[in-house]
Amino acid sequence: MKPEALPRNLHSSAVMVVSGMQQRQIVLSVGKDKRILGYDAHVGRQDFMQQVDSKCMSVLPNPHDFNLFMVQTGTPERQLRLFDIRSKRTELHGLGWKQESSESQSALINQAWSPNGVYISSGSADPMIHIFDIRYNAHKPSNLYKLIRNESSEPYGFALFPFSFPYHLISTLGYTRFLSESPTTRLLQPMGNCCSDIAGGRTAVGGTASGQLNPANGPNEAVDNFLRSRGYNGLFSQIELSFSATGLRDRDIISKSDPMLVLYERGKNGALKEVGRTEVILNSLNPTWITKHTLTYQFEAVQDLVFRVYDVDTQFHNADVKILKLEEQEYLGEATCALSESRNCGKLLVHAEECVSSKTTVEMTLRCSDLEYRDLFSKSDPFLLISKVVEGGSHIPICKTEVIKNDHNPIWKPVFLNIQQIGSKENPMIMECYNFNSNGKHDLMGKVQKSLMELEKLFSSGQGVNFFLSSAGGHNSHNKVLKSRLFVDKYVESVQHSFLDYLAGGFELNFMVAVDFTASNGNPRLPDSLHYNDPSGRPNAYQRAILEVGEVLQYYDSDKRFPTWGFGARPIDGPVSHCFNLNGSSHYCEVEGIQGIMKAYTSALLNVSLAGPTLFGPVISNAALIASQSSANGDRKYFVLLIITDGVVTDLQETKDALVKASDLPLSILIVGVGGADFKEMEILDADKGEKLESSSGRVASRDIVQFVPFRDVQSGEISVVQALLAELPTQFLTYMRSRSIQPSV
Amino acid sequence: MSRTVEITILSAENLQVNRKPVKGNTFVAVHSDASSDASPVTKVDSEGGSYPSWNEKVVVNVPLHARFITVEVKCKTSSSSTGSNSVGVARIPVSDFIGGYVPENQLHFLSYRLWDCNVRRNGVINISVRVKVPERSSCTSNSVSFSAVTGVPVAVNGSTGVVTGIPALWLNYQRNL
Repeated sequence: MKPEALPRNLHSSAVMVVSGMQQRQIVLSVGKDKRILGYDAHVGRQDFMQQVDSKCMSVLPNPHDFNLFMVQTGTPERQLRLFDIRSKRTELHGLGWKQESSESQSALINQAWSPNGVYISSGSADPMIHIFDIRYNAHKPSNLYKLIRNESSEPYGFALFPFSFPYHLISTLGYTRFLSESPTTRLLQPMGNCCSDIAGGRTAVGGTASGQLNPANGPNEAVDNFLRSRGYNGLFSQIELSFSATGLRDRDIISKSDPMLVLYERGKNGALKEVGRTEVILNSLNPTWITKHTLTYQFEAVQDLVFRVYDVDTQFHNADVKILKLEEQEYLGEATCALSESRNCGKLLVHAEECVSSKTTVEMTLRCSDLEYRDLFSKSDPFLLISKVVEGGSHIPICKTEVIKNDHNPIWKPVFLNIQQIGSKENPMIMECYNFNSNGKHDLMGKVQKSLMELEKLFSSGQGVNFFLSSAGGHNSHNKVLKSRLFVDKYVESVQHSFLDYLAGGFELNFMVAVDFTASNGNPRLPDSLHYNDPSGRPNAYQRAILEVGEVLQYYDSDKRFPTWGFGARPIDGPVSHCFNLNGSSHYCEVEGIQGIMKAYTSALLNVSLAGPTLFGPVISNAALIASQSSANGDRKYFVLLIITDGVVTDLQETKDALVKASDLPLSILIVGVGGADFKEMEILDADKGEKLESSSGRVASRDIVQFVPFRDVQSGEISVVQALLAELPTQFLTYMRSRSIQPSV
Repeated sequence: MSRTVEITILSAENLQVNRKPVKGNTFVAVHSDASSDASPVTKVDSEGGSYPSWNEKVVVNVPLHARFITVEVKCKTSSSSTGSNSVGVARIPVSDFIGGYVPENQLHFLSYRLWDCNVRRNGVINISVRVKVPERSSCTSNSVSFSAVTGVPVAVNGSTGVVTGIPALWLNYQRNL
C-alpha cells in the first residue's frame, strides 16, 4: 500500500484524533483548533467543516448509522456532540456531565458506542461510567454506573454489548422554530379577504364520530409488529405532533389571518411530500391547532419536516380542508426541522410526544346549564373546548364541539375521545366553555378541570360540576365559582379493535400475486430487460421485487400459499392471456411460499413469450371474484393482490372499473412498480391525493383500496421498505371492518 | 314480485349549485324505476353544508324487472316550506348489489357520482345497501358459523325450493378461470 498525503493545512493546531467514516471515503479529524473536518478522500477535498466552541478531544463514528458521529469537546455538560455528516454546520445534540472532580471538564474518557448505535458510554475521572441515550433529548446521561470497587481513579473505556436497558422514552421533545418569510412576496388577493365566513368555524373538530372511525391517523401497527419481529426494538417509535404558532403576520385586510398548517416530509430526492394538514382557525395570529399528526420516528434516518402555515381565504371556508389548493391560499411562512434534533415572522411551536397506544374510546354527551349572557342582544352561542394538560403545565387542545346558537342550556353532540389522545384516564383535562364570536375572539364563559375518571363519576352520580373563572390578576388570582354547571349525560367506553386484534381474533390475510409479462419490460434475453434471465443467476428487477416485497408480506399471510398469476403474455401456441396461472397448471393457481413464486416465475419466463397490451382488469376481476366468494361464504378473510408491473397500463378505464367494483369487497391492491418508467397512471389509481376513482358508469370507489409503491424508491433492507409496503394496508383493512361493524372474535 | 331493499343514505360530498357549494338544507329522495310507490325521503340536513350526512335508512320495494334505483339530492328552498330544488341525481344499477359479482344479502357500501339537471358532474353520494333475502334462502347468508359448509346446504335444509345463490357464482368463477 502506498500512503497518500492528505492536505496538511486544514487544521491550525494539534490534531487530536483521526477517524474514518464507515461506508464512506471520508476521514474525520478533530483538533485543538476547535475544528472538526471531514475530508473526502475519494473526491480529494474538504467535505465537512465545523467550528465548535471548545477544543476537540476525540471523534467516534456511529456503528449503526453511518452518517452520525460523535465528537468529544471540553465544554462542561456538553462534552459529547453529535453530528450528521449530511447536515453541514448543524449540531444534532450535545450530551454531557458536569464533573465534580476535574477542572478541565474534559475528563470524560474513551467513549464507545453500543452496537445498535443508540447508547454511548464514557468513562470519567470521577470514577463513573456514564451511559448516554442519544434519543433522549436531555443532555444528562440516562444511566450512571458508579465504579465502587475500582481503585484506580480512571476507569477505562469499554464496548457495550447488545443489552436490554430500561427503554427510555423520548418523553417530550419540544421544538420551537421561527417561521421564515417566504422568498417570494405575494400580492394580497383583492377579493374575499373581508370578514370571515363563520360556518367553517362553527363545526366540531377532533372529537367527532367520523374522526374516530377513520383509522388513518393512528400509529401503524402492522409496521411496528413486523419490525419488532425482526428485532428492531426501540429504534423507532410513533410520535404525535401537535402544533401552535404565535405572532403570525396579518394577511387579511379587515380581519386577521385564518391560518392552517400543512406538514410536509422531504423525500430522499429532496421533493416535498405533503403528509398532513390541520383545520383552519378563524381570525387568529396565535393559533393552536387541534388536528394532530402521527409519524414514525426512525432512529436511522434524518427525517426532514417542513411546516407551512397558510392563510385560508374566505371563499374557501366551507370547503373540506383536504381539497384546498394551496396555490390559492396565502403563505404565512414555513419552518423546517429535522426530527432528530432539538432551535422571523412568527414562531411555530411543535410539541412532540410519544404515542400511548390505547384502543379505548370514550363517548360522552356533555351538557351545560345556566350559562351566562355574553352577547348584547341575544343569548350566548356556546361551544366546549377540551384540552389535555401536558408536562410543564401547558394545555394542548384535543377537540372542540360544534357551536349551539342562542342556548344557555346546550346539549352537544356526543364527543368521542380516545385514551390515546389524552394519555390516561387519570390525566387532567381542561374543559372550557366559550361563547362563539365570528371574529375569532371567543369569550370564555367558564372552565372545569376534570379527568376522564372524574367525568365518569359525574355521569354515574348524575351531578353537575360548577364552572369557575379565574379572575385576572396574576398568581394570587382566586377562582370565582359560577352558577353554570357541566353535566355528563352519557359516558360509554368502547374498545376500537386494531389491525393486530383482528389478526389475533382469527382474521386471515391472504396475498395473491400477479406479475407483468408484457413486452414493454424488454426482451428477457437482453441485459437491459427487467425480465433479464441472467445466466449467472443474478436476480433481475422482478425477482428482486418478489423477494423483497414477498419477505415483508408473507409475514402477515396466514397460510403462505399464494395464488399467482401472470398477465400480458402468450403461453406456448396460445393467444395472449391477461391472467394465466404462473405455475403452468390449468387447474390451480396456488404456489407454496416465496420460493414457490420464484420457481413459478422462472419457469413461466421460459414458457411464455412476452406480448401486450397491459391489462390489469382481468387480474383484478379474478382477485375480486375470490374475495367476493370468500365474503359470501362468511369466511373471515381479507385479500391483498400484489401486482408487480413496469407501470404502463393500457386499460386505465377498465382497471378503474374493476377497482371501483372491488372497493366493496374485502380486498386491497398493492401495486409495486419496477424499472424507471413514468408511474403517473399508477399514482392516479392510488387515490390518496386526488379524486376518488370513478368508473365509466358513474359509480365511485367507496374506499381507497389501492396503494402504489415504486420499487426504486425503497431500498433493500431498510425500515422504509416495510413502511412503504405496509403504509396503507392496516387503514384499508380497518376501514372495511369498521364500516361493516365486523368484530374480531376473542 | 319485488325485492325489499334497505338503503342507508350515508352522506354526500362536495355538493354544488351553480358551481357554488350548497349552503345546506339538503335531503334525499329514493325511488326505483318501474315502481309506482311513493318515493321515500330522508330528513333535512342543515349542518353539513356541501358535505351533508344523513345516516338514514329507507326501505324500497324494487320490482324484479327494475334495472335502476334513482337517488336524488334536493335542497329545500328558503322561499316556501314545501319547495325544493334538485341538486343532483345518481342512477344506481340494481346489478351493483344483486347478482353477478357480488354476494347477496351482504352489506354493500357504494358511492356514486351525482349529475345535475344540466348533466354536469356534481359531488358524490355515499350509501349502503342490503337486499332483504326471504327467509328460505337465507342459508346462503353471511352468518359466520356457516363458513364450513359450502354449496351443499340446500339439501340439508330439507327445503324443496330451487338451488339458490352460490352455485351460480361458482359456475361463473369456473368459467373465468
